[in-house]
Amino acid sequence: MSNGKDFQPKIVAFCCENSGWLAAEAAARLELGYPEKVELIKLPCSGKIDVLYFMKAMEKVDGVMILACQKENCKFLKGNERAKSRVLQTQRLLKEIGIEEDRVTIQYLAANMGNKFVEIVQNMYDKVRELGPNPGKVIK
Amino acid sequence: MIVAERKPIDEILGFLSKHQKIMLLGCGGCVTVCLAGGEKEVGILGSELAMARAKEGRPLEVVQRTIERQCDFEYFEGIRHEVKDVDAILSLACGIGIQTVAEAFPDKVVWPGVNTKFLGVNQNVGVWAERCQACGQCVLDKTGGICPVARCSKSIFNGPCGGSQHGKCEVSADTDCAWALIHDRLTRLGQVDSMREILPVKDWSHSRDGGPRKLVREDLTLESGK
Amino acid sequence: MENNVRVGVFFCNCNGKLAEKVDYGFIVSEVKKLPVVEYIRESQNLCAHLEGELIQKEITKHQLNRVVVVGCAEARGEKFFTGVLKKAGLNPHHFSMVPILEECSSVHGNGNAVTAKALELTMMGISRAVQLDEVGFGEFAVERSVLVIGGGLAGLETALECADRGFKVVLLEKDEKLGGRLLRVNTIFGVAKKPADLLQEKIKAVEGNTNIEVFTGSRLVDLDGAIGDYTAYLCKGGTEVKIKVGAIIVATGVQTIFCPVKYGLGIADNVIGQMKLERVLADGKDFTQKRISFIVGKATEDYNLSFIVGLKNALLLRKKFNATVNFFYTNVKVGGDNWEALYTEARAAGVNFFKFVDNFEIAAQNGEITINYEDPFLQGKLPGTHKISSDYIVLPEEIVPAEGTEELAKILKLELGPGSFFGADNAHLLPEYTSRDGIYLVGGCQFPCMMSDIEISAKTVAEEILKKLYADKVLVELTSPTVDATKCVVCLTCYRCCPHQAITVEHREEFKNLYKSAAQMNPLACRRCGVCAAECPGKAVQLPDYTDAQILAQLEAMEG
Repeated sequence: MSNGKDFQPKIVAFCCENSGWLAAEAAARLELGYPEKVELIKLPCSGKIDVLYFMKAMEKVDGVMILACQKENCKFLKGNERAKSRVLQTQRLLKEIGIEEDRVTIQYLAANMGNKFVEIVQNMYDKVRELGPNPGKVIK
Repeated sequence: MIVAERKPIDEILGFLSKHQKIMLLGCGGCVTVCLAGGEKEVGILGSELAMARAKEGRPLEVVQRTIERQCDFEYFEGIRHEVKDVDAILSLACGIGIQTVAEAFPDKVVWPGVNTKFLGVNQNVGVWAERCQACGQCVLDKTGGICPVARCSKSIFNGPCGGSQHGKCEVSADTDCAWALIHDRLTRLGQVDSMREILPVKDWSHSRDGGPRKLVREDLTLESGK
Repeated sequence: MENNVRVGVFFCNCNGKLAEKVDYGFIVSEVKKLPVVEYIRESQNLCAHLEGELIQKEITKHQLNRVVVVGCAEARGEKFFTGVLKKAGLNPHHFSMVPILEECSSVHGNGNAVTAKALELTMMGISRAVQLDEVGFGEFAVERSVLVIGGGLAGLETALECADRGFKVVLLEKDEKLGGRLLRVNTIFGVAKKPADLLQEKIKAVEGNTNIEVFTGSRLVDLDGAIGDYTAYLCKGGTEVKIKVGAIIVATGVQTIFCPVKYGLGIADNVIGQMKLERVLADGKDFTQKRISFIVGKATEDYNLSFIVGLKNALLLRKKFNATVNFFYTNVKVGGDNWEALYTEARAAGVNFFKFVDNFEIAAQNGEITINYEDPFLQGKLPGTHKISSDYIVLPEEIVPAEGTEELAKILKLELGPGSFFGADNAHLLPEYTSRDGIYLVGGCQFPCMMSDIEISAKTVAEEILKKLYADKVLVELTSPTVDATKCVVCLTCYRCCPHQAITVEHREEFKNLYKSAAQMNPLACRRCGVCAAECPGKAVQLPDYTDAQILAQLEAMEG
């Protein structure tokens, strides 16, 4: 993989099924495009995201994100707060081994925000593309 | 419970610099409870180490295992064959566990993955505080259930020192003065007068000062001497 | 996962929509190479008539025990397919859906990359399917009784609704008699009956209902258990009573604080709070031809109640006593049933409405009240300060949670929401819901509300409880997290992190660990968020359909 202009990052977006996942479906209904190399994995709540999932994903991809319900609007009340703390934890772990912390992020949106979903995904894609390939990739 | 904290990553990476394949060994005892070395932490650190080494271009294979407790020899039997194939073991157990691993596998390099901090209580998720220093001669009967050995910065007896201000210790504003706590609790229990009794000089030979300690109960030992 | 996994993969073309961009032929040829895949079929449209029966036959014929559908994510579709699985004798959780339509066809262009992604998604779906576990049902004995806290209108109404549905009801009132705050009110907007008569009717109905037991002069002092099995400790005149209930309804209402100082006024006979106005009107005070000013806004902007109550009484004073009524407001708040009609009627009847923003002063001297204010609408034509005199001024009280709300929240293990009311203000939850299943809110304890809201809430809550506690023994699908006792170190992390108080630590001989104890998630109280599973340091907790194995399998099947 090169760090040139043709670099296409791979991103995993873990999606709360009450917001991010439905927003992705909304984006599909609106036929809004986003890069192919963004994979979605459904979770029942952003609070189900595990530091381990982030780390395991980072062993093979260039960036990971969790798409959560709007702040103070988690269906399970505290899920998105816990998700935020796990993102911070993962960022700390990556930073201490010299991997850019920006490769992990949490973004908040609601189920009907198809446009916002695409915007979030595209922004992350562009940011990671700028960062270049994940230097810590174990599985290439 | 024994409270531990993962070592800085650079220190761990330094230990492992010459190895290609290690076993990352978690413990299902205290370090799982204090979120430092259970199965989940093994998974996370395993990933982190593999990534750090992949970044350097020197891959590290990490075999991940977590056993019931690392402070008992019998639990190592389940991993003894796999241990043969690794260059070293990185143990996430407390100091007791790490030494037991080293003793169980005398020919294997064993590295500590955590710093063992203290014997303490879990006050909330992610918050621990020291409670006992294993001094070998408990005085909690005289101090209202609050230990001046572990919780007073100076481990002094017979009341606070001059550094006690508004219930806090001069060492840190986050630290309660143990003697203020003792006074308040005894007052609550209506036993504050018992503080007038002078506690004798503590015999520290029961503690670490008497050298490494060993406990043998003849009434329990097996004939095989195990 | 058992060894003998036989996966059937069904491709749906969504009537040609999918094959336009995705090369299904290539994907099928790749999927065929997987040893776990026993059967593959391509269909033009899996939602079509008779497809269900066909799939069912195929499952039986090829002894499939996992079904993967590659097509769209249509939620209706998922129910349809799990129904087919059930009919074929499979556990409906042995099903995995791959939404190629949503994640590929609709959002990406043409080209090899799209087919590659579709293949990757299919592989992820199959890998997940292989890891799926069966999920069964459990039967749980529940108490079919409810505790209603608060004997005001909300409590009475809810008690009657619950009793109507066959529940035994214990109605708790901290005062010596039932009725609550509405007893002191003159009229209720939209209700023809006098509040006192209405309440007497409800009280009579409650007292005559054999399903309802009333405890006056009583409080809840402690609580154990979870939905279907609460133990409530009631205190009546110093003696403690222990009762078992299945659900709890909080109907503790509000209290009002009259604070004229906020408007620069002191206590005086002609400075009246809205609640006091209700009372004096009920007592028959005469306001004939008086000049009365209402002020609504500032401190009471968060809720609509003060505006509507003020409007209602402004109109009443105007019509009944031919009074001169001036209504000062910051914002017109008429978003509710018939509220705007009330506003229009008040204007037509001659109530004068004045908007104010900042420059607003009230002075009381020798029994006369003078209001000096600047009208933002008249800045052009009539700039400057206007002076309006009146005989009385009516101010809204601040509406705050009932006395003892904080203590009650502690006993119920609930967090308070905005304004320290019980309501959570969460778009995903009904206003009647709390963070704990089996504890519900009716009336002003949620947030200041109208009587029509109380009626709706009372019915909602009664229906909700009926849905959960529909019989002495209820059947619940065990999709709540499972705990592998051999890995559980009873560290309490999950217990402390659970947002729904659904976790207990249980001691049982069957738990194979040092402590013979393990955390257990109550399937009735658990809402399946998975926070506990993600926090567990021993990886003992697994959420069905989202286990670590199932999620990591997807990551593993993904291309780097």
